[in-house]
Amino acid sequence: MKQIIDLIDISLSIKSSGKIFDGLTFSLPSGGTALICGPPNIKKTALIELIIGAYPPIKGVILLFEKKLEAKKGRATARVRCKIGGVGGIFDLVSYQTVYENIAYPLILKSESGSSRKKKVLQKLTDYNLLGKRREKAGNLTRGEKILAQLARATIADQPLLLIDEPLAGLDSEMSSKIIGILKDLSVAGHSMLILTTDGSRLNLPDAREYFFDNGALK
Amino acid sequence: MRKFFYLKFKFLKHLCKRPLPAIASLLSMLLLFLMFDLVWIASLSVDRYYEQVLAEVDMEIFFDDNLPDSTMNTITDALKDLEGIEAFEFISKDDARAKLHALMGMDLLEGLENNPLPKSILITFDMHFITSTYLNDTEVKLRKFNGVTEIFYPRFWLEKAEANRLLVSHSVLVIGAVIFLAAILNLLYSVRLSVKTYDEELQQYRLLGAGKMFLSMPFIFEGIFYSLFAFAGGWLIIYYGTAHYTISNFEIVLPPQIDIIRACIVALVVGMIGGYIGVRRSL
Repeated sequence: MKQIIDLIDISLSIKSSGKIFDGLTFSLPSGGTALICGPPNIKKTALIELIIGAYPPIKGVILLFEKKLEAKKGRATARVRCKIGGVGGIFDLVSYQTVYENIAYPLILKSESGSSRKKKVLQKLTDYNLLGKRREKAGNLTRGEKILAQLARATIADQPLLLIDEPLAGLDSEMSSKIIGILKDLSVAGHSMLILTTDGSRLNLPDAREYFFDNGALK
Repeated sequence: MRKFFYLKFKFLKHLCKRPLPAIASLLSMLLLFLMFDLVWIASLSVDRYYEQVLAEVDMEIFFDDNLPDSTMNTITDALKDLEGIEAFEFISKDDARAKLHALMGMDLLEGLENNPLPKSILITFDMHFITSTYLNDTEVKLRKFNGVTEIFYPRFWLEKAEANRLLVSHSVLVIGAVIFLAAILNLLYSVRLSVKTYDEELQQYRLLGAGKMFLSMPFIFEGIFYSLFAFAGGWLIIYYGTAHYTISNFEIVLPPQIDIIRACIVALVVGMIGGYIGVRRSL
């Protein structure tokens, strides 16, 4: 089966935090969902940063979409990032831009025409119940609306891989259910998802593989 | 092409969102380029002034009274063969006396038994050959002829004028380089200030897969915009000034259009460099 993410024997150290991963091996098949669980403040986010090439590993190989990722090759990394949709954590909305502008950006990178862009963004805004907020500055959104807008941005250009960091943190039960519903739909639609969460049981996604982050390795 | 339009739109948006810093950057660049233009024009005008004065430099060779005509013919033939000589005029003793008369308004030699003025040849040179080195070489060659008693040309004045021209051209080079360096630094920090305003956007867009060049382009356009508009503004002011005001007794020389176009290309490059260096560190 085609692997979207393949991390082979990865060791990663970050100056400010010391050793984070040691001999980490992990793979995510195409269309699969992985829940990475663990308590807060154990640098789970570093896994996402590693996958998008923000940090080069000391040891090991990162294969993304079956191609080796080399953090130092800027253009290749940018091409890979275009295929990734990010939600939460380091992936934030640009606070002074409107919701519309934030969601449209991946389409600009794909060189979509203005009319096609508008059509897709409006459709996405309607799907995620954000149409009324399209002219609102992203900084004025609630936490739940931000997650929705980020999910819209992460999927608008049909990005095959979603990296999601704590999607339910700080949300009320109504918004949580809404987000879980969207994640289930995305999973069924065949998106590959890697979700970092403190409590995997709350998500209850179909066919999701659950991992626990412990001492720099996934179990 | 779509991306290009987006980037152009983005750069215009940057300017419109921060109009005051944009105007401040534009004005400071305008002042710098105006200063450069003025220095450039001043150097050209000084150069033209020196050229006009140098065009009047000539050399006069004085001969012994007893010099036979045959030797004089040899000398005039030699002068014809010398490069750089535009014309020469033989001045006989009587012509010299007439010239002195015309110059002083009275015949100072009246009452003298003999005309003490020597015969001479007055040489005028082609403009491009009026240099102290060339005139010195010519003097050495001419002194070899028998009967040449004195050769006069304003040697020390010429050397001083050449040194001054050199000083002016070196000063223009140094001042020009300093101004262009100041322009680059000014642009760099204007763009860096702009980048700081959009830092959040740049970081997020990088995570979404925007390349460095794509993110840099609006800021490079911004640098080019400041540079080109300031350059054009500087020349507009100068053309307006020269059309409405003149300085008597001193000709203002504007550079040829082709040189202005070249300088415009340099300004464009300065804009690109300033914009690129300004944004590079943040990516």
